Amino acid sequence: MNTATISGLVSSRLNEGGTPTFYPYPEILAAVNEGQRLFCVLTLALEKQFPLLILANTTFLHLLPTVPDYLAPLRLTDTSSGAKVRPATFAELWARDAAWPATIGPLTRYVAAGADLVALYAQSAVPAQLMLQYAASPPLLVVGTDVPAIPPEYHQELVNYGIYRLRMVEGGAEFAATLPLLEHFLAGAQEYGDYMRARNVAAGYDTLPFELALFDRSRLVGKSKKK
Amino acid sequence: MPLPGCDVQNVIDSDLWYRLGFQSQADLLAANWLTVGELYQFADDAVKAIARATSLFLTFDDSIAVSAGTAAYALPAGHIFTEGAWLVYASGGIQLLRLTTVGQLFALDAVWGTKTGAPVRLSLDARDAVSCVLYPSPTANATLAQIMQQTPADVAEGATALPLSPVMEIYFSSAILAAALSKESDSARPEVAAHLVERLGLIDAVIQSLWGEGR
Repeated sequence: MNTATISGLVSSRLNEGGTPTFYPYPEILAAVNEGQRLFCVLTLALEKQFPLLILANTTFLHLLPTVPDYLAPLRLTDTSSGAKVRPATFAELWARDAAWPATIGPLTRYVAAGADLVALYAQSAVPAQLMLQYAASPPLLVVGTDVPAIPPEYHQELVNYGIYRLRMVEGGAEFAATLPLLEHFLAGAQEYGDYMRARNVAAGYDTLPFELALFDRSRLVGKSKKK
Repeated sequence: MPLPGCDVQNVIDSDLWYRLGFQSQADLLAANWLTVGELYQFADDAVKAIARATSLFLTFDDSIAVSAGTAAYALPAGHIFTEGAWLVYASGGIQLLRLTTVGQLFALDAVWGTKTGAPVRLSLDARDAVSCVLYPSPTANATLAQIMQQTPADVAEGATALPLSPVMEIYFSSAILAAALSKESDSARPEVAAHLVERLGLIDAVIQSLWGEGR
């Protein structure tokens, strides 16, 4: 489905269609974009690669200025040697080398922390070329022909999410009636997140998606429905 | 066109007025219910809350110059916690500083405040909440380097960009709406506000899973 189809479905299921009045097209688009972003952050559905040029003697860098759609690292590879740079924690680096922030040598470990901070061990004395494989945030859907970046079988979940979000403006019973649609959306995200987790484990990726099954969402999706 | 990156202005200018039940931003302002300044204040509150609850704003800082004979230094503005710290000497040598509470310093050395030498510990509670103290007091100049969590500059009209992934705009739209819809008025929707608070809990959990918990 493309954006126009998804928006049309949202509109018709809200009993509008044709020329949306109460739920205008820009609002539908905003809701669908929000749904896609939430789906991607819950599942790490979108993977990309980016060649990173690391300046000589660099230990710390922030990725977002260079890779604006970066969410989380999946794999870092030293392009010159072809070897994978292994993930670590700061504590592991201190245990390994008491002077790690200033050590010069082959790049073997990295720490990803916070929204986009990366620490490299060891520093390279010359500029280094790395390949970053990362989970990405999706590009915004802007025009009707844009196709969501998430798998097609989950495009229907964007329709569900769109209806849920649009009826939030009304509140009360109208809004409560859409909570099963949010549950459907989250169940879809959980299903695909489970698939991505298994896939990431098999691929030896460094980050796994959030485990939605362990999050108690009963109050989020309307506890009274389960009584 | 939305601004690049994570920008609170994108959240407020796009469709927040619609989600609050108004036909336009002008309509919202004419209702004398919420001001634009209030909306940015709600966003700022959310930034500060999430900066404490998670490690989102982790950064490397080497702005503190350590001088021989001075043990206490003001922490950088917005400092929340230190993940790790070390001294870098002019020779290039590095000394890891173990984070130590003042209680541990007293247990270690009853007269710790008078000791001088090459620092091996850093205390964040030996003086006040905005200072750090080296133990022993240094006898040589150096640079204090640290990996720390820091709140970004205040969010306000004209200062709205945040060093975060653009997906985090979901968090700020939920936070602003939750705060606005909780405000007492005929337009309040406490049931939606309560739902949005639950949503924030979900996003908080995702943030902590992907980018780290607070300390």
